[in-house]
Amino acid sequence: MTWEAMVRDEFARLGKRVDAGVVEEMAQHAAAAFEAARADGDTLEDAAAQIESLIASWCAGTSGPRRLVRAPLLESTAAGPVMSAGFWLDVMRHDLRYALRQIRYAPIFAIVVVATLAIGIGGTTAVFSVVEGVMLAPLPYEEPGRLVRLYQQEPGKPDTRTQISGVHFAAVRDEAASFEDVAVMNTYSEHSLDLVAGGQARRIRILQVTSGYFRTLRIGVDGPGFAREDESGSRRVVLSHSLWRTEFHSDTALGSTIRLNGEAYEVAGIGPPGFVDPMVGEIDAWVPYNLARDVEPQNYSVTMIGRLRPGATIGQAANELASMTASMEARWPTARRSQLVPLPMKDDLVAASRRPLQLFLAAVVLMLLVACVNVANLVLVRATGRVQEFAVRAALGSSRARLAVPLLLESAILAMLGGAFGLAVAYLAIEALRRLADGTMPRLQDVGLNGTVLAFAGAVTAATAITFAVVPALRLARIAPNDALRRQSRSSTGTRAQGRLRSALAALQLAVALTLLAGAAALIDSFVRLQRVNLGFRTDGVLTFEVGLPSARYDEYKRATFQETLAGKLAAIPGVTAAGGTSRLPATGSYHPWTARILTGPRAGVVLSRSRGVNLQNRTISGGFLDALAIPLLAGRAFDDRDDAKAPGRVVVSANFAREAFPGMPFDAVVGQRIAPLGQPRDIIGVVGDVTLDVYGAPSHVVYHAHRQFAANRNWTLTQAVATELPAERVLPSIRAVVAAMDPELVVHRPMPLAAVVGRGIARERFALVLVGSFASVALLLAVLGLYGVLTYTVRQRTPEIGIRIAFGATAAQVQALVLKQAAGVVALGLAGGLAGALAAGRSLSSLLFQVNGSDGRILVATAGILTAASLLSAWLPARRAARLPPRVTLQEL
Amino acid sequence: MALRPFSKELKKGSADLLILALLEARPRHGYEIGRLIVERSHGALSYHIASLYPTLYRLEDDGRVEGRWVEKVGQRRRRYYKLTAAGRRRLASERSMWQDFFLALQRVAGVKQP
Repeated sequence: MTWEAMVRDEFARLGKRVDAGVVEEMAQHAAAAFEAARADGDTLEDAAAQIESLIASWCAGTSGPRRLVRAPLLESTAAGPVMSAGFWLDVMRHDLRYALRQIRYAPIFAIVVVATLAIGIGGTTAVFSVVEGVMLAPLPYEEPGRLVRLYQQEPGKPDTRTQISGVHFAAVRDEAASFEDVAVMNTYSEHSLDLVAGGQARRIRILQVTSGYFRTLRIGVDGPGFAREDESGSRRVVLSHSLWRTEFHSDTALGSTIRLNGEAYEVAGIGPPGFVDPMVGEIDAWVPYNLARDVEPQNYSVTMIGRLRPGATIGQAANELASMTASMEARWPTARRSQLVPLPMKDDLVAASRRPLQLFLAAVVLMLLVACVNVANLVLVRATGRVQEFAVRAALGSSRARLAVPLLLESAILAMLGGAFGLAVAYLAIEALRRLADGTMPRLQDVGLNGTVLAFAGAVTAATAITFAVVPALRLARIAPNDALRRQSRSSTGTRAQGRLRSALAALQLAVALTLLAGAAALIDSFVRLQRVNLGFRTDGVLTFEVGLPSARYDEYKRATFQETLAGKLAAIPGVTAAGGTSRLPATGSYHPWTARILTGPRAGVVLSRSRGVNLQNRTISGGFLDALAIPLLAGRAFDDRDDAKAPGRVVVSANFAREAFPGMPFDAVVGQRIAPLGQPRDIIGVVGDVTLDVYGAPSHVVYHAHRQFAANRNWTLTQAVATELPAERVLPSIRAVVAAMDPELVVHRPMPLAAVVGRGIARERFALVLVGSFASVALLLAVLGLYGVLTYTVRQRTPEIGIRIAFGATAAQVQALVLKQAAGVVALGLAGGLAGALAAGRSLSSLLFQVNGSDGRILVATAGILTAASLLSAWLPARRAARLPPRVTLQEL
Repeated sequence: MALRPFSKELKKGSADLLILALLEARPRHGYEIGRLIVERSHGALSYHIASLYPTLYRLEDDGRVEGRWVEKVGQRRRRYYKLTAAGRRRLASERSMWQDFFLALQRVAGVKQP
């Protein structure tokens, strides 16, 4: 903007019209004076501020008939509201220009403010988008409030809550009146089938569901879908819209036949575009669940959902189900979990994520708070530099409101810029969050920048603008012109009160930073401990993948042979030391917790079942699986060629199992004992080392079955483990070649290092760590910068005083002590507040911590140490500068 | 440099005096007047710059100075102010008034001219 425009604006702002010559004359003077000031060495900002206040007083003082053309302020008042509105609009426009000018004069200030706000607003918006998508947004189904998830429990004992048994489900489906529709799906283990289309084999994700599934969720399937008659293993399939589009190019007709695992399935429908299963997520195709075969009333293994009848409440449904308990108990006395309980589906889905998400939101809001305080401090410091200008304006009759408005506008513009860049930050952060959070919480696919999130970002922006703008504006507008004008020196304009406010704000920042830092430290400690948990097997140098065998072409004998041949051929690849398959990798959770009757030894006759402290587990293994994972043999032998289907049933057990079933017996003596898992007698031929149930180190009591003997039980999809020191990308082609040579239609599915598979178990902890860690880092950085800013400013303010002290003989050390003393006060206040905050935060973090107490003294001391060190560093620089000030310079400032 | 309340009239009067005196020798433009006030007072009277144009316009309205745009080749046009006859009379009376004022100060308070 030109000086001319500025003068014109200023007159317009005051409601004065002057002849053009006046504007020209003043602008000329302003331009010359500005150049002179710059030539004298004034900063751009100082010079501009000086000239601006000059213009302000000229314009304000100009009166008299000759040069004033007319006084529109009076005219407009007389002319009524229309002109008056136009006048105020005019004033606003000029205020806006004035604000923009102020921003342009101090580009670095503006950049720092906008960047700080962008990080704060962006981070908060990104975390909120996850909260919104996961926790707040309604489920994407018709009338989602009527959807419930059902569990089964022993009457009145919620802690025995489990999945549903198919038997109980069938009874409830026929008898309960509170539901419009109910369905179960088999989510117990992920189910995949190989789809061969166009000569290419591809593994697709399958969900087994009962006939009411689509009606319960109100999913409009194009086609008849499934009927109850299909629930006995009908070969029918509903394709997802995306599978239908990508694999069948949208032209497979209803009723036509596709091949899954080599078997013919009739296409019974096509799902609607964009449909995602609430529990499982993206599914490629649905097939009927074989309810007819699910006859064991104690097999609580399916996930049940229901839709309440219109008008029925969840309380009524719960009462009705409770009233059915007695009759169910009478019909299936062995099933002690005879009571079904409904829970709102959304609550059930997000229950586990609620606490962490609340924590993340709290953490990011704290970071935002630090950012706001930082900006408020910057604005405050800058505003004190403009005290004189404001004093002149106030002396010349500007009202407080008129003084505050341009300041507020300036802040509003900065906040809006911060908000805009914040949205960009949020957009990037949301992508990163979704990748990072993958597998740790449901509904992540719904997370994004939607209307609600945008509205939230707007609200946060407004809130930050208010926090960092209003306080300084009010303070500045309240300046007594006399006081400010009396102090002519530009360097001593801050008041004591403002200094105290800035120190308090800096202390607040440090306190918040310490709170976040302590949380992050606890998470780091916990994460390190998690990674140190001894899982009982090696995770490095093991590559895993899956191969599914189509039942149509592979009977039990072929499957048994295939698995052993595959293991042998894999082990023969150069660089591979061992290979074998398992029905489920260790440390990835519970699977097949079948009961086992002890047939021999001191506890003969006892039935071991999964109970407190006993994590009974069954695994079916092939080839050299135990060797591949380096699970040590403690006694007896591992499976080999002798253990085929014709041999007597044999098992290998883990040390924990041996100790539990045969207490007091040496492992060598356990070999040869007999147990009956699932009621089938087996000889124990070996005892092996323990592996953990999960990544948290929970023990497991494992019975290993030989796939060769167990192939008839079901078509096992074994996870293959290949031990090799070679990098995955060098071995994988050989693995694919081996599989393709055995059967070109088979798929090497999900090849992945074992460390990554196990690592997914700690994805939630990693997510929490990265999130809170980055918020803490940003907060610490901002807080330390804040402290630095406050001290630097004080040193500048106290330069004359320091000069006098030096002139009177103060040593450099004494001067440094002066500044450090102020820093110490701020840091002490920050530490006290931060420790209180950290103690409070530690308690709420406990659900995310492993073997670590959030309010652990060592963590608090360590983080307080880090904060103090960082603060001292930031205080050291201004202190040193103060001590090195030459007295002559400092005294000149007087 | 503190100014106490009594000085309001004094300040206004001294502003008039300064400007009129600087225009006595020859016509000058506003920036030049301002620059001379700062230079010749060694900065002590800088605060007068803030009221420079309001004062000039008042003097012009009162007919003590006369402003005129002057164009020179290769330069932007500038507004030069020159003293009118009324201005000269006013300058003379201002001068004698201030002289009396300082004399009085000297007699009463021992304020000496340097």
